[in-house]
Amino acid sequence: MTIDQAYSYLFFVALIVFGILMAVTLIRCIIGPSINDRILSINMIGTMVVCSIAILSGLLDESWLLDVALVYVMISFLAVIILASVYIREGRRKAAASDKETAGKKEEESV
Amino acid sequence: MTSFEKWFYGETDVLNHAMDEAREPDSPDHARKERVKARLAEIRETEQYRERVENSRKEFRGLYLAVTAVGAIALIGVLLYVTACLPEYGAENPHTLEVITRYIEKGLEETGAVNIVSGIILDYRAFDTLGESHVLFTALICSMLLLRLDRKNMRSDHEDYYTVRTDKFFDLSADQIFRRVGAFLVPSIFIFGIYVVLNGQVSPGGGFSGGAILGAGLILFSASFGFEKVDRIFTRKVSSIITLCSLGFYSFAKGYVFFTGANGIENHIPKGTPGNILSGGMILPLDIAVGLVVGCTMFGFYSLFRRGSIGGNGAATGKSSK
Amino acid sequence: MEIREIFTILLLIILILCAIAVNFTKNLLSAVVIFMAYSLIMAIVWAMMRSPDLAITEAAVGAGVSGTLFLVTLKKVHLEDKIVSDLIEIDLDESEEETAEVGEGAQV
Repeated sequence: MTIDQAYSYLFFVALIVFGILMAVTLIRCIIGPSINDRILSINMIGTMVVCSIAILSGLLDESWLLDVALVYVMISFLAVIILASVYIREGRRKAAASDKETAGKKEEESV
Repeated sequence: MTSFEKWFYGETDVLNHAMDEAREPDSPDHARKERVKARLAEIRETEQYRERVENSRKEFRGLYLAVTAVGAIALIGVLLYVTACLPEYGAENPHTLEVITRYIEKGLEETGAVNIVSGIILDYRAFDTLGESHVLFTALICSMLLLRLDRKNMRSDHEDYYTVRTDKFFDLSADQIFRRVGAFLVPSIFIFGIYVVLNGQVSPGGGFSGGAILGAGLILFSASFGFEKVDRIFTRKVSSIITLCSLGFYSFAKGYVFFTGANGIENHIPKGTPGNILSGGMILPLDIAVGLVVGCTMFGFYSLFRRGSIGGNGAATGKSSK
Repeated sequence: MEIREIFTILLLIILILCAIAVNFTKNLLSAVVIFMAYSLIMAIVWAMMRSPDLAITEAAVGAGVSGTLFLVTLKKVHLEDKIVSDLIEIDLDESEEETAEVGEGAQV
């Protein structure tokens, strides 16, 4: 077995391991009862995709795949940030609504 | 200001009178709608209606599921069989052999672009790209028609105009993570987007990808620093002028090339040496035009959905942003 | 090569799983999140098929802009935390014109 063959086997095994990990994370994303599970699993899938694309660029010996990896890193950050911000807003709105409810109940009790 | 300028800059609204009639309390449509609502409320109270709603959910449910499953499986089977009949990935198909060999053999010398895909999109089939850019522009205009929030058309029960426009309680631009990472990441995204747009004919990329990256960069900028900072550089006028000039330039340039090509006249556009940035004839300027249109469109959609206007708080005061 | 086919088949199975899961989740926001995961995995498939323009465009549009626009749409229509079975009530409320004409004609 030459060095090239050994490298290609190494890369392929790493890719398959990443693929299995992505499948498992995806199952958590589907099942996860709360939204935090889903946001975290999307972030993790994005990181694993970037790693797989970098491994692919070493395997196929193409340099343009590193451009794709760069784009992915920046854009997946944007997606996770916007997802989290929508949920922080929801949480604040619900907290404000429940504050109003408790304030209203206190007023009723006092009156 | 002449009346044309007033209409052009958005101070008078063409659809103003048509859409407001049904909402006035005095119009006949409004009275009819009130009657319909009252009648519906009466109907929903009765027992028979409730029973019918309950039963319609229970009966035939098994039948619907069975028919849906059979139909879906049949469709999947047909699609899989047809896909299996296609030639293999990378094999030579006698039907399209002529076009493929022409593109691959003569693509570099006829278009001057190392990236044959960019050469095909923006040189051989530039007419299709022209249509696609116009489709993007039309989508943006239609979204603006439907989603623009003015004082006049903001009358809904669970949203108040001023809370939507001045959404400070749920605004996250004061967050530390947004600011610090945004300060580092937004310039990087812009530079990378410009790099991808300019290198369309040399390395993979091109107008559409670069435009999407620029749009995503603008979205990140507005999400992490607030909308006031974006409004300083990207107002509605800027967006209109950019799209107008880009699409106009694309149409005139390609019109000139088609005219000279159809009549057999030589169009004196230099091809340059392949591999440089300034090569490939018209591919570089057209890439820039397409990238700008796509970037403006992406950010325009985001801004319209978030706050009902593309730039500025012109709607709050009733005048266009100046 | 055999190992390459195994990897491709693994990715395609993940894609099918994503596509089925988008339909069957009850929460709308989780459907959008799984749609973003679908687009993420699609980019690797494009990279394996050696199509660079498609990979870059899928990365920029699918992961970033399309997912973000879906989320902003959900927020605009106030359906961030709606579960799908609740939407049936909304459908019954919105079809005013048809049920009004039925109700006025026939005696219920």
